[in-house]
Amino acid sequence: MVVEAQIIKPIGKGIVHRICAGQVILDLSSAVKELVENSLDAGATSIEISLKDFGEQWFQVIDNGCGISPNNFKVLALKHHTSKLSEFHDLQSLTTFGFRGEALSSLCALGNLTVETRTASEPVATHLTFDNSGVLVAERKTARQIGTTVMVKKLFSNLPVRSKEFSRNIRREYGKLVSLLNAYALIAKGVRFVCTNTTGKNVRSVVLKTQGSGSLKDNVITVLGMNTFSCLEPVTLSISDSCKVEGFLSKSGQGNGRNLGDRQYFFVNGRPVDMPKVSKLVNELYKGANSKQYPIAILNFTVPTRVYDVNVTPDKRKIFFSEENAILQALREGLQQIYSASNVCYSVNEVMLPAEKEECVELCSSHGKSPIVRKLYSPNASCPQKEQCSESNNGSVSLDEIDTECNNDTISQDEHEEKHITDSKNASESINEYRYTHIDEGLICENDGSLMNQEFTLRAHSASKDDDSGSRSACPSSIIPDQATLVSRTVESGSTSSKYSFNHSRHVQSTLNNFVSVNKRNRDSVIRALSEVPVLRNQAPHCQLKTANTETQDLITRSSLCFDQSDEPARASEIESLKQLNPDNVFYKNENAVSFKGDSSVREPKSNMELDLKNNTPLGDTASITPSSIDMITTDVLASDPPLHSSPVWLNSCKSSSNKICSNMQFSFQELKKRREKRLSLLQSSKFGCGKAKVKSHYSAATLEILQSEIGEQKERALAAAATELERFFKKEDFSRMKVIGQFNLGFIICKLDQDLFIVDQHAADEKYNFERLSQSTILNQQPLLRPIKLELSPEEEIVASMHMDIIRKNGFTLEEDPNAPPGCRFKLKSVPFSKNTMFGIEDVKELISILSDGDGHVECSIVGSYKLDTSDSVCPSRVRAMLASRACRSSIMVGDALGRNEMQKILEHMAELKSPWNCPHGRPTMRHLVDLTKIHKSYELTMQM
Amino acid sequence: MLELRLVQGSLLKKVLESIKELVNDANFDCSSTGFSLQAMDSSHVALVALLLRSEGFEHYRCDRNTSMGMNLNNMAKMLKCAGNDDIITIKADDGSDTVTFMFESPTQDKISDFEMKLMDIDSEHLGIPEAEYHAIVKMPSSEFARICKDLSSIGDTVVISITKEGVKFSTKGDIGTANIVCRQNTSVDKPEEATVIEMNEPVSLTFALRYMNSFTKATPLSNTVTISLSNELPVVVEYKIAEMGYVRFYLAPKIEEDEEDTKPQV
Repeated sequence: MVVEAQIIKPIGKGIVHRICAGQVILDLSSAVKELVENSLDAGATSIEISLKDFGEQWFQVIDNGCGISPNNFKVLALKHHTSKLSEFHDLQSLTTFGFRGEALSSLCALGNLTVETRTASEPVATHLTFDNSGVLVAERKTARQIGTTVMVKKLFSNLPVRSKEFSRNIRREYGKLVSLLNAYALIAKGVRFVCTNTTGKNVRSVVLKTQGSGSLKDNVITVLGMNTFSCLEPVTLSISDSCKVEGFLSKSGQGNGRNLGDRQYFFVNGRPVDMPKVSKLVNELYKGANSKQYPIAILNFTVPTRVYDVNVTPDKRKIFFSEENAILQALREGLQQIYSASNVCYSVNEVMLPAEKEECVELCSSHGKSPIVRKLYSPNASCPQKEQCSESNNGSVSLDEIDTECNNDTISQDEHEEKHITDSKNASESINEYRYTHIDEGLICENDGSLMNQEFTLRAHSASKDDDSGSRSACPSSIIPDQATLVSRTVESGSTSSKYSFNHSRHVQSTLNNFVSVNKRNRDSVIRALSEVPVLRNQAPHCQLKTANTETQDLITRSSLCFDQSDEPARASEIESLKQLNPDNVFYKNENAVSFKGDSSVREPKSNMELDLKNNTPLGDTASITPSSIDMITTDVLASDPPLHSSPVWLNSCKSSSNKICSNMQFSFQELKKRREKRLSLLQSSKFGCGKAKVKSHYSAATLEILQSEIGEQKERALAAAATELERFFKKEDFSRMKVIGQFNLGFIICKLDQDLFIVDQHAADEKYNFERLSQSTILNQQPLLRPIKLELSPEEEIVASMHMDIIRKNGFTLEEDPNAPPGCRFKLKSVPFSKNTMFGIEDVKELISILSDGDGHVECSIVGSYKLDTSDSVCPSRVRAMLASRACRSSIMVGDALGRNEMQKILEHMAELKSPWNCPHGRPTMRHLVDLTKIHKSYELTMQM
Repeated sequence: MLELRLVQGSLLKKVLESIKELVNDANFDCSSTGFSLQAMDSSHVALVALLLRSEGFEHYRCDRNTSMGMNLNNMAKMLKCAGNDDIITIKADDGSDTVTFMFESPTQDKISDFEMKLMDIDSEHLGIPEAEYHAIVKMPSSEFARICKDLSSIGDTVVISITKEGVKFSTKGDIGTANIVCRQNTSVDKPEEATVIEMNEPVSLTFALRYMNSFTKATPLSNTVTISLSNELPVVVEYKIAEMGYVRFYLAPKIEEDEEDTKPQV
């Protein structure tokens, strides 16, 4: 079956009219608002709003404005007809409230609209009747003053769903309307507002009545009352050259604000608008001055019409600014100056600065130590060297070894002086001792380097550990001068240049430079060994000395260049081996891998040792020779002889030195192994511990560790998170299954559930039980008053009171409503509740009314602080709760009471019956997770394996 | 000008001690007939009416009707400086904003002069209608004080039931209930120790013990106390002051209906 294509046709005019009208007029307040704004645009100085049955039957707006001329009667209620807007760009210069030309036509579509109007040039008024499409259908003469009366009957009557919703929420709509009229009454200068409501039997009540004063201050006093006005202070801020803010704000201090954020009125050029960002900013800054309440705010922004867009929504309450951020920033700065609490915040910031400076000082001092250490160790003299070694000796292992090296240096020097010219064996032994010291120093450097790398990765170290790092960095610097001294003593050349640095890579460079120096001397010593033999056989002529010196110097230069080239591969291999060590020290993935790496790292030094042993032989030869000019001359002549003479000496020295070195090396390597394994085990155990904790721990918020570090608002958040977590993981029935382990410090109960240990505060737990028991069993007595007390309530509060008379009575208060009384004095308090010596009164019933206002969907605010109420439907004055909390506290088990096992078990069983067992009425936690026993067991097993 | 001289000064001290707990500030009205006070406590729960007739003063001079606002706590502090046997004279000039208390020792060898500032208190004069009561109980004041004190340790409220057999005081609280019955006994030798009950019809009303205990602070003023009850009317607890006046306390009875509905909604 083929579906025939539908033809697209325009919607009928009437249908369009009805669809759009419902979007312009949403509720009672938006309907009345349009009529009030028309009156204001007409220049009215008196506007009267009359409602029948809260506006459900009809409402009308009566003004004394300029009226409507007969020329406009036919087009008055037609769609998009207006006298205020001709071209689109007129939007940028508009000063009237209305301009879209759709309000009256929408009201025609949604209800029955009639208008009575008279202009100054007319002798009588005209009564106009319009149909649903806005067409004028009837016209007759009537008597009236100059001005206009607009009446709307049966609003929403032709929209069944909207009508039913309207009837059901009529009182709430009425409350919103009164609040909106308050806004216009505040800002409209020289305009008198009267709002009346007539109910059932023609009982007329005045809800709002102003005198039409020309000053904002008088309007505030008239609308909000003198008591409220005394809590306000005037505000005048200049946002920019063309933007200004004027109005009133709540003063600082408790009691000057409100529990609700409902009395905040914002205007742009006298137009009431919704400014949520400004409201949020004002509330945020006021919280510093009064943390428990909201400010009353009446702010009028005077800005050029071209810098904002008013045509965002049909009701024109949403406005966009072209420079919103600048306005908000300037407003913030202005308000911060007003509220003195901002100064407190500023002083807190000042307190932070010295701490930062101290950190800077520490950094400077740590930097400063390095240059000082550098200077101390740069001299080559042996005596200052020894003194500096003793000064830096602070008990660390590395420094002790340095001290030992100093002693070795002294012994070696003595031997050298005594046996200035000796046979080759003795000289080689002395050189071997030098080499042994050098090897040990190299290993120590490697260890220090690895330690430094660890410290680099562990950036969370405290300041004291940074000092340790400074002292550790002194070790390499003290070792390097020793090497320089050794080399200088060996060759007696008087100077060796090598760079010092505390960076690890620089240290490697420095070590390699020392190797280069040694190799240079190696080549030179070979030359000298060769020249020694010919002296015994021949005597050269004296006249050839000068030429021989020149040749010798050239030869030395060439040999040094050659050795530089040969050293480059050695440097690369050294650097690579050191790089391999660094990752091993930083990352320990598991024990096996670490142990394997450890073994490989132990092998590296051995290979280095073998390489050094080979270099020892040439040095030995060098020590036994004294350079002379005669020897150098014969070098050229007898080039073919040297290998034969030197080889026997090399073999002998190699054999004797290897035995001694082996025994010493084994000892030191054993110690190194032990130290390395110990360090690895420590790192590994801590790593495993952290990993397991993350995986298996259910309780992360409800533990003692987190609680210790929290302060202020973070503490409240932490408490809420802990309670939420306990509710999720812990069932109340589990309290019955808990097993008492014992009492701790006469204040806490340690108990066990499966594999978890918990700690329970005995006072808080018993107090919560008593609190909930008293809440259920306490009956408030009702005490009638000899003479009823007159309550002074705002219109919104009176509406809330009339809507919730039953809840107020359940709380023990009896209110009597007098329909004939003027607004604000309609309710009287006839009886109050009491319990023992606690008597409640006017403040408590007013607080109760404000709590009930919260429940109606007004701005939420937490009256009881951060503590969450036990049940969602609990409505009572805070003093009742405080009374019960106080009684529960005084009748509970105290800290310091010794408890038997049965008593402790009973406390836990009581907690199983509570609605909310996580906090006592004052907010203290009753229970926290202590430790996971499975974690302890695994940790124990791990320790045994190690 | 106002000048009142009272030889038995301790009476005035006792009066102040009995009402200062209930009332903070009050207007004393002085006329040719006497010195009187009517005040309500801050919660509008209890009312105090005091009358000291002019005949009871050794010297009473009141040129024209005046009203003096006083803070009763401050006044009690002033009167505490007088000895129990002192003669007390109260003076105030017309239109003055201070009142002078003069205390003379019986032998006239010590004369004290205290001046206290007066207050402007806006309070309406309360008309108390003369009511006829269903039952009137007259009993020793010390007994009544003892009963109220004992019952307040058990519960918050006391139910006073009057029948032909006697008057019964009942209360109940968390720990239990208590009942005290005082039978009518007119045959005792001393009149002040008798319990006399006049009754038209049985009455049973509930009152807050907290206020009853406050009323019994007037026990030193008189050996007997008169309790007048009527359904739907406040109770009147009256203590005579020697031969010169009375102090009366009025308290509305507690509402009995819907008691279970007034639980706190915590």
